[in-house]
Amino acid sequence: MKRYIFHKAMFFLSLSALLGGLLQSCEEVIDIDLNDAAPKLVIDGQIVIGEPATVRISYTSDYFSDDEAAYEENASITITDSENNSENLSYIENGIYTGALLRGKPGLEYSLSITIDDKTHKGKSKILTPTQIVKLGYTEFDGFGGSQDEPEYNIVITLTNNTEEDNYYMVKYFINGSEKEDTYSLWSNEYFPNEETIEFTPLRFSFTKDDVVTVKAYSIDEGTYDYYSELDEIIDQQGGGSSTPFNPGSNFGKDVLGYFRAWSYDQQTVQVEDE
Amino acid sequence: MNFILKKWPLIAYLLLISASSYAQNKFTISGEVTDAETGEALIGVTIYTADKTVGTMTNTYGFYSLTLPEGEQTVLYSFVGYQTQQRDIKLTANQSIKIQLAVNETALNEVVVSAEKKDKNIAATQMTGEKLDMKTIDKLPVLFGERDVLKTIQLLPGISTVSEGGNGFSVRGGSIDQNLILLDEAPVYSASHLMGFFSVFNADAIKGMTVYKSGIPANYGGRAASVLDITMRDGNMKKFQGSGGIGLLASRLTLEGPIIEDKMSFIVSGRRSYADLIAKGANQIDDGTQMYFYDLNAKLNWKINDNNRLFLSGYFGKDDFGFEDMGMDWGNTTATLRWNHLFSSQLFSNTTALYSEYDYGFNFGDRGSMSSGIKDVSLKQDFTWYANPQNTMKYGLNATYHTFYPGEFLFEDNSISDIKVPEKQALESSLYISNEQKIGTKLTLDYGVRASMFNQFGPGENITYDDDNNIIDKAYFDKGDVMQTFYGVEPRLGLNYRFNTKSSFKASYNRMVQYLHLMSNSTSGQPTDTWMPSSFNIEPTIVNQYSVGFFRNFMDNAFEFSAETYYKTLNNISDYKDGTQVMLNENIESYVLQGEGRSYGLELYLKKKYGDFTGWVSYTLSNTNNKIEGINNGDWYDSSYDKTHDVSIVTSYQFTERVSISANWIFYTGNAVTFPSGKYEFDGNQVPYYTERNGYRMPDYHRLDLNIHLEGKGNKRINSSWDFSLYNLYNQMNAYTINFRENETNPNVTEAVKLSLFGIIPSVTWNFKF
Repeated sequence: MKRYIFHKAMFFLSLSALLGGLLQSCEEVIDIDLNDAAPKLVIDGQIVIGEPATVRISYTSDYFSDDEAAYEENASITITDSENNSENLSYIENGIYTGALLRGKPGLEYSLSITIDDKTHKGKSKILTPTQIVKLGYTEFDGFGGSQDEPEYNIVITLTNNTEEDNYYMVKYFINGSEKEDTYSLWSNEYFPNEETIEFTPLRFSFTKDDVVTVKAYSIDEGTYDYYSELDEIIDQQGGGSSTPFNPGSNFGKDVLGYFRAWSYDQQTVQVEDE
Repeated sequence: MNFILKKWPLIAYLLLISASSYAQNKFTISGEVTDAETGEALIGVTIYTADKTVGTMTNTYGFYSLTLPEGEQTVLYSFVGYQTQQRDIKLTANQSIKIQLAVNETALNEVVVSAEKKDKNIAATQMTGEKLDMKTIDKLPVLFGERDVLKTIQLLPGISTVSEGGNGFSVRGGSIDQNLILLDEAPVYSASHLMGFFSVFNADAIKGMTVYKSGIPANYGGRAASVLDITMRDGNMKKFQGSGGIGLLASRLTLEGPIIEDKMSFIVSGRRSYADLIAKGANQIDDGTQMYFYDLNAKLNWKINDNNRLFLSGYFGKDDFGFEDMGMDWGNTTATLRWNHLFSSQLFSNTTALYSEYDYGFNFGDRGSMSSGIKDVSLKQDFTWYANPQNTMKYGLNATYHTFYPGEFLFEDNSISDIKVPEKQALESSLYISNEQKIGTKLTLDYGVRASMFNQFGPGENITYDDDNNIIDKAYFDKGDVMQTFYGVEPRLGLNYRFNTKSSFKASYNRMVQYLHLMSNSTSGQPTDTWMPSSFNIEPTIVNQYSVGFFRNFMDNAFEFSAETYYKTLNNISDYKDGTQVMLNENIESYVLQGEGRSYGLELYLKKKYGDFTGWVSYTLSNTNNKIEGINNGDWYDSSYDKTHDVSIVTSYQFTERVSISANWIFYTGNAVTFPSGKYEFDGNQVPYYTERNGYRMPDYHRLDLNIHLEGKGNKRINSSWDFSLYNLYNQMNAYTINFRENETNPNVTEAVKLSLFGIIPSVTWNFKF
């Protein structure tokens, strides 16, 4: 599961070169008949350092449906840390539940227990040592070039790394204050086990001179890394859609979609300076 | 096994005794049939007596042997496009007769040969060994002006394309790794250039090919679905000549000639694409970008004397993609050294040493590099014993040592430990014996058996996994220790009953055992797919296939018609757990799920071989399913290679001596694919929700291509011709992939997006010969 970096590099190098550069490939939105599956439970839960847990419980909907997904209002949710502190979450609205007292701390593992109609689902995740963005810069993209008049830039990011721990990192890129990230990158500690700081130039995200880019660097555990790797396969199918798609594996088991993750993040903003 | 080895002469004798018992004095004529102009050995020349009661064909090396009663005999040698030769022989002793057939000049354009034995398809014992000559391939429309043997076979019934433009092909529902592709007997592990849009086979260097879908002869083995046996040209024995072509995407040049006239010849054929050069010139890509492929075929052919002949042939090909100091490349290398030896006029021997390698690599600039591949070293001994006109026996043995390099990542930074998935080693060995027996004038049987064995050797570990891919036990093996052994006994049976000269019935059964597996979670095949051996966790794939067919020729053999049906059962076919990453996955074996499969179908084929108007219509109706524990609740589901309907119409019309037009139309049912049946929101993303594998279909695919061939005026030092092609004439936007994703401007809206690769593509190629 940790082969993410190679997989993406392959698609980037080969398919984008071929499809983008050479051939007159074309994309078109089409109508297609899809079955309507029975609704399935979806849990989107997280706890961040210094903040209480939040959980959103909803159900799957038809793929082309524009309606808001159905959500669950009657779940009973408890979060417990590895020091045996626990708290019941309260329902707010739109399927969202939050805690108030129990806040995320590094080094602790959190268990989330959710009971709906006498059925209980449990998931676990651990907050590892937070990472810090030591430096955030950019470099001009000098890849295939030629086709764009406007120069494109890649982020150059330096993060702290705890060499004593098996860390995993996720970096989300937000453009011009957007709430939702443009895309994200994942890295596993096995490529930099002994480095105190690690520098990356992720090629999958590029931006232009007018963009203000906010970067959030998350420190995540192995399970979260695997889940987001799988999720990326599904939501970012560009060019590579030939492998069999699937549902990313939940830490609540096979009856549930979604994930519960405990994590921390650091954020910074960058913009291309006038020369 | 030892028993069979020691006793085979006795068994053979017993088999043949009935046929020989009435013989009085018989003698054998044997020798080689070659092209009179080039000296090139001709494969599949029919040799028969004037009364048509006895006959044979030349083998892959142009050799024949025919035993006839003492006395006056009239023997005819005939081959498509060549003048038939007649020899009156007074047979009082064994005779060596070398034949040189001249091209039938008047028939060059029309391909009408009056003396040609036109009912070959009816008489041939081979159930479905379809031979294709390069003349057929030359006339077909092409993509980007490159003729392609692999694209051509996909127009035959039972052989289908797996994706647009791709060279991976599926035979009777088999996966792409179930095809044994041989180039001068060396296996080619990845037969495509440019991500699968071109095959590695440079048409200029190829003499011909035979594809077997069923009734696969016992001398072939190791793959479950088919054999594609491609023979490289030997080179002109008479005079030096060159040929080539300049196309939009690639150019090619072939040089050939005698080193010693009629004794030794060579051929060298090279090809390189230059899309990158054009794109750089047009400022579409940067100077630091590489994007090309090349290949080189070379062969040396030495007739030492009448009884000995040596061939040395090789193929080297590479694809290179990248920019600046990052990139990827992949390629094949094969080498074949063969020694043909005649022990007697009736016993033909071929000894072969083979080398084949496929590898790919990534270069991540100053961070590191990755590589993966497979390497084979093989020794092969084949005998053909032309016992008498009724019996031709083939037997031999083969040993191949495979080395698998599943992948390693080497970091430039020495403080980071490299990632190495351990190498694996295996020995695949086999023995076979088969006999083609004619009983009376109507019935021909071809029966045989292949015994195969596969040993995986250490160093290595047999790892036991639990259901969640966690390691629960390991057993370590030292270098040379046998880690795992598999056996296979593979019977091969074929029957041909000729009702008359116009129609015949053929039936066959074969079992094939496949010990190698291509780890790939895409259908169409990618250069980064990895070959793995059968092992502690992966069982060999076993196929049993039953096939029957009716063949009939009409209108003085101008039309050939065949109807064939087959049923196949497959054991231990592989699919993968959800989300399996193939690359650099040291525990890939735990992600492989194995189960059973079945495929059945009907294939109809109508071909017009002679006249100004030639071509064929092929239609396949088939069904292919898998049943694998862990996928779709263990129920039967459609295989990714299931195509209900597959139609090809191929036509060619010779307008004048210099102008011909050809067109083909292709239609097939879309592949079985996995689409979502719902969606959900997670961390701000709209995520598709999948309920079953291969539960949907891609849209049906269809396309029309057109080619105009203009032959230049002759009588010059250089003969030239032009090919103008239009690929996808009516600009059908066929789906290459369908992706499901959020709308870019409104993320709350989800949509299906079709990606099409090729609209209409014109191309022009100038071909020359001197």
